Formats: sequence, structure tokens, C-alpha cells
Amino acid sequence: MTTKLSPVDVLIIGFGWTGGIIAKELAASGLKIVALERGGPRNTNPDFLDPQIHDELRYAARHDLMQNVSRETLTFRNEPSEMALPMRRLGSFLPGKGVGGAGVHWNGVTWRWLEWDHQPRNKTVDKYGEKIIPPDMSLQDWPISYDDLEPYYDKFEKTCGTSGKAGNLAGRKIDGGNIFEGPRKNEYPNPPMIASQGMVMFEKAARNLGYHPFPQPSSNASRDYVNPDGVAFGQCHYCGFCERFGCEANAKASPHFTVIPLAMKNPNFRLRTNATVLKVNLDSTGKKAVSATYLDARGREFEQPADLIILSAYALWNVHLLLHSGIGKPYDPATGKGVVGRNYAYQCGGGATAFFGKDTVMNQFMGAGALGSCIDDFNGDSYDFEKAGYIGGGGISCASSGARPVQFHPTPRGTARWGSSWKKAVVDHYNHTLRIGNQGAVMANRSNYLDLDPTYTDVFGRPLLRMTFNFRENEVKQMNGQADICVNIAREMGAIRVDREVSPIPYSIVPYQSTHNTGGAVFGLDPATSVLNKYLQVWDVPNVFVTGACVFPQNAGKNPTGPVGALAYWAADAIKNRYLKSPGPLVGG
Amino acid sequence: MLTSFHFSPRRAQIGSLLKVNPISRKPKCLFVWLRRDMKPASITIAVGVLLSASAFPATEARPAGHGEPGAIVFKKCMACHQVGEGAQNGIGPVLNGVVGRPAGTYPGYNYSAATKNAGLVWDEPTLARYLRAPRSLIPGTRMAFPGLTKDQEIMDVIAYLEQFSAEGKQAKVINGTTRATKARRNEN
Repeated sequence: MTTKLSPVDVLIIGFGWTGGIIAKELAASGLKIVALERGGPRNTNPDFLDPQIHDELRYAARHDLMQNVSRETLTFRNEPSEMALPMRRLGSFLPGKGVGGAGVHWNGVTWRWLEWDHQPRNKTVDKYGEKIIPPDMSLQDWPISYDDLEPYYDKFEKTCGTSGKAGNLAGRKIDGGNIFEGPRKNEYPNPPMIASQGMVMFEKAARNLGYHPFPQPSSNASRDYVNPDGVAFGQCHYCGFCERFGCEANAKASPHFTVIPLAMKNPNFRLRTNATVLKVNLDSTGKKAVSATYLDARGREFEQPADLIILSAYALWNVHLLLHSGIGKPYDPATGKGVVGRNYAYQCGGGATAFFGKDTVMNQFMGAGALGSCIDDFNGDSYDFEKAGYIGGGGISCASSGARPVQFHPTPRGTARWGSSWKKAVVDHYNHTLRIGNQGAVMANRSNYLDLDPTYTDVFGRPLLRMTFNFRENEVKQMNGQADICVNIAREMGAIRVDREVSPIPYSIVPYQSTHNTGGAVFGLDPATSVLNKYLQVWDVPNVFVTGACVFPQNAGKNPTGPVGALAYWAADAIKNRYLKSPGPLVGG
Repeated sequence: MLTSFHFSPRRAQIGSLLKVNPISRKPKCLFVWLRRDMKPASITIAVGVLLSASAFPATEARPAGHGEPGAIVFKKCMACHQVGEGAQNGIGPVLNGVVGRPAGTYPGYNYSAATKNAGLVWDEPTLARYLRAPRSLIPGTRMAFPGLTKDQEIMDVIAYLEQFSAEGKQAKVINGTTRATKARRNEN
């Protein structure tokens, strides 16, 4: 039995960064807004207080803040010819669950993507000609440029109190910042964090090699900070418990204490937690969404009618909801036609683990999620694609995000995996080891996509989302090329021993790599190759907007939260200033 | 006193590297290092040093606190604590009327057992010790803040907090100094 609720103006599905931003930005509109969140409510007090939040077993090893895959998961395969099997344990990526979403347990790395990342096809063709793009690579430009998004990047950085150093202020290149970034109107709201031992060594080595190191932009506040909305941040303690944890000091920008409380002050706003949305319902024309069906914590089914629906769940689950609701044409890899599920992308990994002598002390337990030094000399289009043999590159960094006791025990390759010799190696290397990592872009490929699984269903009886993904030739070349660069830097730093690494090839969902799943509901200029127009509005169903990393046509060599937040502000502006004035398609199809 | 720890070869290296780091403002992480990387014996020494450096022994003159700069220092506390009318418990308890209040007693706040059972009263000298290194004075407090490093900041923020009555009314500042400072002056 479904209980039909009284209609609201705006229904927000998923309440993390993007849902929170949109609810907050629409608060002054006077509209009746309801947000549905499949997880429970969460607050710094009591959920993230020290010392209980520093429980590595509970939060990092057992994923307490993340999605429970015994209830909802996806199936996975590398190639369209294989049969996909359900992911029964979290591994490669860690989708969040609960108020604040993964924005609660992220690291706080807050990039503006490079200008090239917004227009990769045009810029690549201009420089190298069409033939450098492999035929199976569905490289595609964003419908908006870096310059269009610049004010919104700025807004998100200010919301988050991002700490960093500009490398390009209105076209003026600044040594010590990232000289490869697009022009910024403003400096970061906070100065860079205190550098760790490893970062100092990395920067010196990178400079010796002629590269351009800079501090990683971090939304772990480098000082006490009050953002433009009046939200106070504590100064980061460098405790090293960021990713997979909530922050006890409100130093790591998170939606649950920034945008969400502001959204909730609105008397016309209601949040319903433990509400799992099963489907968005369309009218008989299929061109208009009328409601969403959801289950509450007791399993009772409700239908919530709404005039405007925002899908702001995690990237993968937005795509699942679109597919399951019949919004947009599903992608078919055989014909290349259809759009929903198309251009799913991920992130390349690998790099070098550098082992030093006992006189070089790293003290990496003093760390912060986004504390690190980076180079973008081999990212975006800062390097020669023809010479390197791959497109997209990656950010190379030496991160100091902590060295927690349960999961951090680096040992040289070939060390026994257990027993006394392993223990000795852990003691010998724990405080004398660094990692130089590559965070590589993944260009979209026509055989990497998301659709509905024909075999397996979730606990609610819906077909599971099926992921078909592999690292393609471009990515394999990139991981290898970038790993060589990481090895060189490690040697220049004076490492006694260097272990070179790349991500498992073929791609495996077992070891953790990155929670940067992108694409599947991309925005673009052409309805034939995109689900959404430039305002993140569904071409086919104009009263549905979709936010999050699922809108990226391909992945960059950078963390996604910066553009995810900026695009949420961008979409909120479009809804406020364009859609609400005249509901309907904002871009002619 | 803290510099005495630079004598170990490991520490000397970290210290010097922190100094040469072009983007470091100052080696603030010393506190974290002290808390986390010491053998029990040295922790005792470190705590001893911290206490003697920070507890303002009765014979030593304390700097006078001023509420106005204290309001700026209080920005460091604002992520967790509120003062003034309408203040609510957040990550930390409301600080209205905290100066002179027994520790662990603000209504409705879920204190750690350590703070509740500390048997302390937040008079000026106790607050000063606490704000210098919270976990040295009350091991097991949930207050994760590592501490204020400057005596002047500590006295200023106490002066600022003193302005707030238990009801959250902010008193006018008289000559910019705290009641406790004035009381000491009067005794003299």
C-alpha cells in the first residue's frame, strides 16, 4: 500500500554536498522543499566526537559511515562479453550514506579542474589534430567553460574555507602556486597548510627536476575561519583521521555543518532520513516527472508528488534511478546510441613507494586528508600528448593524509606478508617511507558504461546497476608513464629503495583505489550524446535536474568534489533565476 | 623550555626542516608531536614542562587580559562553542558564565566522564592551564583542541568569556581588563 503525500514544490533526493547546496540556495525562494536521504541523520556532536571517531577498525576497515552492500550494491564486469557479478564487499570505492553523504568522510581535496578538463576534445584537436584521439575514446567537451564556472568554484572554495596558494591570479602566474591552473579572480580563502617532512622533500626534488610543485588545495582549514554564510570552522589539528571519518573539529568542510543547517533553518524545508527512493514516477507523456516513491525506515511505501525533482544522490545511484525510472534513453554500447549510463569513468592510480634510511623521519601520523604537495606538469594538457603517447595525464602528489596504525604499514615488495620478518619490516619502515602517487584521468570509452543488470536484484526487487569498466590502452600507457615519473621523483628525493606500482590491470573492484566514480548522466550541448543540458537539466524531462560527478563527460586527473560543488551552485542559480521564472527546458533541444 | 627537545638528533632534523619549508608559517605541529610521539617517560617530562610553562605559578605575574582582542581569539573556539543570548550547545558546551563555573556542569551537554569528574572550577588560573593544553589538565576530555600557545591570547579570551553572564548577557568592558585581573590589582 502506497500512501500518497501532499505535493511539494521541490523534492531533493540524496542529501550530501549537492543536495545541501541546492536546498540552501533555494531556501529564500519561499518554495516548499522536501529532501529524502536514504541514511540516517548525522552531526559532529555526538557522531564524530573525539576520541570515539578515531576508531580505525570501525570506520576505516569496516566502513561504518558508508553504504551497506548487503542491501544495495552493483554488479561488475570488465568487458561487455562477461557476466557481471555482485560486489559483496566494499573495495575499490566507498559510496557514502547518511546526511552529508560522502562529503562527511572525504579528504577535503578541493580542486578547480584545469581548463583543458572542461574542453578536452576541442583543445586536443586544435593542438594535435583529430587522429590522436583513439576511435573508441568518446572524448567530449563540457557544455560550459572553466571561465563560466570560475565564480562558482570561488563560491564553493569560500563555503569550504579551502586552504591553498593561487598559481594564476587573473593570468598572472605565481611561483609556489599551481601555474597550470586556470585564471582565478581571488586567492584561496585560507593560506596553505603546514607542510610535512615528505612534502618539503617532494617539493625540493620536484624543483630539482624542473617541475612546479605547489601545496594541494585543502578544505582542512589551515586556521580558524568563518565562511560567508557565517559558519565557523576550527583549525585543523593534523590528527590524520580524515578520509573514512567525520571531523571532530569541524575543520574539514562537510555539508552537515555548513550548507545543511542553513537549509534546515528554512521553515518551508523538511528532511526525511532513512527514506530510500525506489523510483521517480513520470506522467503518461514520459516528459514530466510527477513524484518519487520511497520507503521509510519501517518499510512503509510513500509517494511524494513534486513539481521539480533534483537527483543529488551519489553519482552511481543517480544513474541507477534514471535507468530504473525510464528517464532518458539507456546507452547501448553495440550501436553507440542512447545516453544514460554512457561515459562512465573512474581514476587511474599507481606511483612509487619510496623507502628511506632511519635517519629520515617522516612522522606521517601528523597528517590531514588533503595535506600534500602536487605537480600538474603531467596533467591536463601541460605535457606533450604525442611524445607521452597518452591523453589526459594525472596529478602527481606526495600526500600526508595520516599513517594510522591498523592499515598503514608499508613494507618493501618481497617482504613476508606475516610473521616476525613482516613485523620487523613494519618497524623498520613505518616512519621512513613516503608514497608518490599518480591520480590519473580516465578518458571515456565506448565500452565503459553503466546499465541495469539482467540477473541480480537489490533487496527491494529492483535490477542492480551493472558496471562495465576496464582500463583501456590510453589509461594503461598513462599509468605506466606516470609511474616512471613518480619513480624518478622518489629517486631524486634520495630514496634507498623505490617500489613502482600501477593499479591492477585489468581493473579490479577489490582493492581500494578511489571513490571518484564519474559519468553515466553527462551534461553536454547535444541531446544525442548527453543526458543533461548545460544547466544539469534532463533534456527529456525538464522538471528533473541531476547533480554530482555523474555529469562529467570524462574523469580528470583530479579529485571531483571541487567541480561537483561548483556545478551544484551553478545549477542552483539556473533553477532560481531561470527555471522558477519560466519552468520548462532552459536550452532548446 | 620546549626547545630542549631539539637535542635529540631526530628532532633537530624535523625542526630544521620545518624552518626551511617555504610554505610553512610556523612549526605549530610541535604540540601534536609532543602528544603522540613520546615514550611515557618523556611525556611526563613534556607535560611537566608544559604545566610549568603555562600554569602561571602563583608567584609569577600574569599578563592582563583584554576582552576586545579576546573576541578575536574566540574565533578559534567558535567552531565548537557559542556565547551570548540564544547560544546553544554544539560540539562543545555553551560558555556563558563559564568563568567561575564548576567544570562539566552546563545543562544539557553530554560531558566526558573525565571532565565531569575532574572536580575543577573554571577560575582564571585553572582556565589558563586548561586552554594551554586541555588534555594535559584533563586527560580524556572530548575537547580535541590542542591549546593556545600565547599567554596573552589565553588571558584575552578569558577576559572575553568573563564578559558573558550565565544568561548570556554581555557586560560592558571596564578599562578592558578582567574582573580577576582587577581583583588582583586591588589586592596589591
